[in-house]
Amino acid sequence: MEAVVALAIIGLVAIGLLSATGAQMRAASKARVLLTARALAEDRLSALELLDYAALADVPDSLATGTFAAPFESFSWTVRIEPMEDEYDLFGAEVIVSGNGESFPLRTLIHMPKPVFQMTETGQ
Amino acid sequence: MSGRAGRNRLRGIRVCDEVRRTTSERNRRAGFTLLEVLVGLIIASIALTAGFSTLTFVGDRARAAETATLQALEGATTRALLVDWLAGARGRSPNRAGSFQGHDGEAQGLDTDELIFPTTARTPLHVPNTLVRLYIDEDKETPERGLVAEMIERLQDEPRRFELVPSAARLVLRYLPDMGGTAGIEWVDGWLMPQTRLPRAVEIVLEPAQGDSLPLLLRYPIRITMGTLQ
Repeated sequence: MEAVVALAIIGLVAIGLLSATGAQMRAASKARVLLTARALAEDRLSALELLDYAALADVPDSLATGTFAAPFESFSWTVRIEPMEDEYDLFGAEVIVSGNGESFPLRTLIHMPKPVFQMTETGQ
Repeated sequence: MSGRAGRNRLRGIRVCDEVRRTTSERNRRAGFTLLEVLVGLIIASIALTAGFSTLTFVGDRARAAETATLQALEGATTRALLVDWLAGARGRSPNRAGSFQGHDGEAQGLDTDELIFPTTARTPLHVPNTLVRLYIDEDKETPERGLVAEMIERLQDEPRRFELVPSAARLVLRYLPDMGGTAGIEWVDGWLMPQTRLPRAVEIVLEPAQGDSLPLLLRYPIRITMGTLQ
C-alpha cells in the first residue's frame, strides 16, 4: 500500500513537471512565431508606406495578399487599406500576418497627400 | 475430572490451534517473495527508464525551443533597432558632426557597403543627436566583429562601438530615391552628399560569414521608410 502511494506521488509530480515544461515550450514557440510575425508585418507596412496616393487607394494585388519568401514561406500576409471617413489623405491600414497557427495584426494610419500634379512615364 | 472441565479444556486447545494457525498465516503474508520483489524491481526500472528518457527528450526539445526563441528575439531586436535609428535619420547633423552618406563598397573597391547617418532617434549614447556609422568590422585588433554601429555626438568625441550582428560578414545597402511616387523608380547602390534630400527608403541586407549563420529574421532584407525630417 505504501509503495503504491509513493509511486502515485512520484507519478503526479512527474506529470506536473512534464506539463510545466510543455507549457513553457508552447509559450516559447508562440513567442518565437509572434516575434517573427511582427517583424514581417512591419516589413509589409514599410512597403505600404512607399506607395503613392493612387496605389494606396487601390492596393496592387501583389501587395494585398501573398506568402513570404524563404525562409519564411510558412507565413502569409493580408493587407486591408481603407480611406478614413471625414479625413483628407488619411488611410487606415491593417496588415495581418499568419503562420504556424498564429496570427498577428498590425494597424496604423498612413498619411499620403493627393498629388497636385504627377510625373508621367516620359518624365513630363 | 468432571465432564464440564474436560469440555472447557478441549475448547481451550481448539482456540490455541486457531490462534497458531492465524499467526502462521499472517507471518507467511507479512513479506514479499523473491519473485514479487524481482517483478517489482523490473517494473520500477522500466518506469524509471521511460521517465528518464521522456525527461531527457523534453529537456532537449525545451533547450532547442529556447535557443530558437533567443535567436528570433535577437533578430527582431536588431531589426527594430535599425528601423528605429534610420526612421529618425536626418540629412545633416545640427551640430555639424556629419551628414547622411551611403558608401557603395563595389564602387569604392571594398567588399562591403557602409552607411553614416545622423539620427534623432534614441541611441545608447542618450543624446539628442547621434552620428551613427554602420559597417562590417574586419579589423582583428578591435574586439568587435560583424555588423558594428559606431556612434559619436560631436566630431571631437571618442567613438563608441556596439556589436550588432557578430556573424555578419557583408553589408549590402540600397537606397530608394524620393521622386513623389514609386512607379518606375529604381533602387540605387549609393547615396552620397550633396544629395539635397534623404532617400525615401533604405534596404539593408546582411550576409553571413562562410560556415556561419545569421538569425532567421536577419536573413530577410530590412526595408526602412525614412522619416520626413531632413
